[in-house]
Amino acid sequence: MVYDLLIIGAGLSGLFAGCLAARRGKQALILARGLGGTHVGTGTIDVLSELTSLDKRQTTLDHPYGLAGSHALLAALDELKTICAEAGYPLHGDLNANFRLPTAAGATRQTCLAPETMIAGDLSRPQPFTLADLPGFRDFNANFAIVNLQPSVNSYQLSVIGLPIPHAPTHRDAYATDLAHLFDRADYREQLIEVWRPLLTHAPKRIGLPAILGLDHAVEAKRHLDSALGIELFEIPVLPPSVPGMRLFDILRNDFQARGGRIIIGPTVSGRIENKRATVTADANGRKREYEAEAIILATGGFLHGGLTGEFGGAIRESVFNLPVAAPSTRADWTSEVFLGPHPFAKFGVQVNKQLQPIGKDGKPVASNLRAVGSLLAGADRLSEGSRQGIELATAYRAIELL
Amino acid sequence: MKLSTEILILGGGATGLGAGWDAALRGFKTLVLEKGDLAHGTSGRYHGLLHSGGRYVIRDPQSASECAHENALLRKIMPSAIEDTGGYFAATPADPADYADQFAAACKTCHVPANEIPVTQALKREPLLNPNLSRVFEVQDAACDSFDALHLLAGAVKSAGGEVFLRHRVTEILKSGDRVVGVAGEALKTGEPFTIYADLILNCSGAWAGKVAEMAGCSVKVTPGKGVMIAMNSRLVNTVINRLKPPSDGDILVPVGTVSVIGTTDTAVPDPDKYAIEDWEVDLLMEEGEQLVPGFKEHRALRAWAGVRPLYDPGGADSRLMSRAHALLDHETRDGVPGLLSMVGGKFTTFRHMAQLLVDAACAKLNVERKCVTADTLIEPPGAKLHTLPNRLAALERPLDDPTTRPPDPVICECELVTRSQIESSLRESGSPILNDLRRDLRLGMGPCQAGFCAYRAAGIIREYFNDHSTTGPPDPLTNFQLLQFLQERWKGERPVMWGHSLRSLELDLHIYHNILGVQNLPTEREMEVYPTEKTS
Repeated sequence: MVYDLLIIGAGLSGLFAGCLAARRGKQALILARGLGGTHVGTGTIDVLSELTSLDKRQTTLDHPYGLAGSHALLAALDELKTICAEAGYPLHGDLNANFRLPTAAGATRQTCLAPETMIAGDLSRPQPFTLADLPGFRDFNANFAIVNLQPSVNSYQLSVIGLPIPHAPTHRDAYATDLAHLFDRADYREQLIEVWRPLLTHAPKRIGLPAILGLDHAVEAKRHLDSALGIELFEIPVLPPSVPGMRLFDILRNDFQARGGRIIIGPTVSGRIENKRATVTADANGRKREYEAEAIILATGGFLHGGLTGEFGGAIRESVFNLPVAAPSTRADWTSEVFLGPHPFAKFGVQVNKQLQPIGKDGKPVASNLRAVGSLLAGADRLSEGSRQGIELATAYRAIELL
Repeated sequence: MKLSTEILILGGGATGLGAGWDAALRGFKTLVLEKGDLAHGTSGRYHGLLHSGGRYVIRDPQSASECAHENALLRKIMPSAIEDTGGYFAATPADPADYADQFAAACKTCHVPANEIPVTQALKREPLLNPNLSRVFEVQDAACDSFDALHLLAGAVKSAGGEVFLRHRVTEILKSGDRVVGVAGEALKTGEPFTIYADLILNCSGAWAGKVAEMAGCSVKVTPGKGVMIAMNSRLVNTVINRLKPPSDGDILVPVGTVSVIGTTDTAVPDPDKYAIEDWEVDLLMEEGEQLVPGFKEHRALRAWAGVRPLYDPGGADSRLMSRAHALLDHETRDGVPGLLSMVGGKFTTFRHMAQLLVDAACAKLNVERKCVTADTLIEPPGAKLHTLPNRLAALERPLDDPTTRPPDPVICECELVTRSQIESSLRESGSPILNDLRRDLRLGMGPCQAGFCAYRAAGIIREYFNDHSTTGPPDPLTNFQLLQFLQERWKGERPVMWGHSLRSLELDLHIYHNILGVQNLPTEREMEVYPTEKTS
């Protein structure tokens, strides 16, 4: 069949574009080599660490926010909140102010939208809290975090409480996902309540723990534990795999599929442009299939997710269509001497016009039916700005709007 | 702190620890001083080759014979640090055709065992090698993990009754008249000054030997020869592969542990503490690797680092042409400064031999006759095992057979299988809160993810260990600083090879540390840097 829309990439921008298209009655197909950025992120929606400077970003076409336009960001956040709320996993927050959430190292991070399971951790709230130390769980160190957090809440004393996790795997180390599967089960939570109750008698009522509260029933799990124990739990993102990120992935994929969208994960996707029209071939272990579509959205992400590659010889390449990427040809100019950056490579990416169409050296679109969105786009240092998910959502929204 | 000893050794690399071990075994009261950590200097930054001697047979026959002899000996006294990989000298189409015959003849003269084998046999054992090899000789190379070797040696010094002081920097050599009688310096951990008097001082500071001799008013011209190496993320070969040609850049590929190391370049640098890895060096090594293993450049390069050879050649030749031989300098006869001997030049493979010569000379100076026994003494404790991931995995899995006794011992570094209890016992032993020390002791953070996952986990354990789980008190800028410094040190070695998968890995690490953990916002204090900043490692 010929799809109305073909999306390459199953990260936040690809999936969100798919949902929007399906919700507007379009026949869409998502093709992806693998899972996207949701699984390694925080599961929050970062728009900008300094929200007050958003206007500046939105008025320049050098930045993806400027290309998407301010209305697209606003509408995208609203529609994502609707999708998540319908799935029983409300996201809170808006563009007026960021949450200030604690990290697993005890730093503060600014984010625009956060799930219900995290917002009780907002450091702007004046109530004392304690962090849960889960014995044997490597990816969250409450003691390390707490001493660093103390100065940011200097009005009260923070503490750590050891909370055992019965039935965690013992034949190997537990990952966040292992524990999340346990928390999904109501019968498990009942056991946990019995074990935790006596330990919490003298603890502050606000308790932070690593983001493990369940994959499919996270909000239910939080409410269950909160009400049975008389506490207020909040999650803190930890090392990948990201449980809150996987929840977003599942919610968007389910929403997309429920509305007739099709998603194929696994094949290597390569593209071709002839007569200003893009087509793609999906190669699943040697079985090749060509796809044509009225419109193609390229949402393959940056270097981590394979949308861009940097080669030994000094070239930066876009991986599907080999679209032009402006970058210095000396490898040493891609990165900075300081590990934490900022690094020049962060801004490398595909250049697009106001229609989000990739452009060639002549400034003209390389194909009439191709648009690029998300972390693949040039012009933003998402890490320093704290803007990754905001850009992914706003540009995906704009691309669908332009169809 | 004021101490006195019979023999004081400056420099805790292979030569210094070897000399400390030898002297202690001969019954001397012995102390080894090292300004950094074990394996902090050249010994910890080499490519891991236990030379067969083949590399030196033509230009430096004496070194070649010594290597062959010591190679056979070290396999007996330090087997747990040596992997018997065997080695090939292989001629690629780019190598001079007439070199092979010269090589074969010279090996005979130097008593370096070398057998020509059919190319097909070599390719069967090493299928990734260039199929167009013309000739292959089998030699007795091996891979030696110098981190393990140095830890074993330090242990051997202590069991023989000697002492090893790490992070003790010598700032002054004390003299009485012309005679050297001791040293003064600073213990870098505590800032406490120390003075140590000794009957005799042995300068084993390698590329730093010139600086040390200068403090005693003697001039020793050591040329620090920088060598760059690149660790590839897998064992592309299981045998050491040497190019069958005169020594040159990128002529060797050594399988060590889970990686293979291509090396090296050779450039004289003015100061052993100041050097950088240049892009051309990385490019050249990758291109040379392509000659040995077609498709080499497509494999992931993990990191690049450099070491400084302690080249000593009073003639002053180009650093590649300088002899790798060692020289024993008696400063009494040479400079009129009694009380000080220097060992300069040399190479890792012959450290035991150099130590023997040095301590023989020390015996003569002190007018005693004590025989060297290092050739017949085990360096390692009984039961020591070659560090391999399967060995570590077996140790991890053993307790699983009996679930009732299994204590929870999380794997903190998954790439190198380092557990929490290993980290805690290393912290207990060293008392050092430095993540890089844990790395050198346990190989923490040396695998494919280059500390992406374990740095946070290990920093938390350090915090807990040194603060006794206290949650009160001020924030912890020391642990924060350790974490940031460790990430930065890992980055230094990764940056020269930032392309392909390494670039992807960088973005993942930044996701973790910048975005998820926000470590850039943690409080640190520069004053916390009580130890000297470490070089590229």
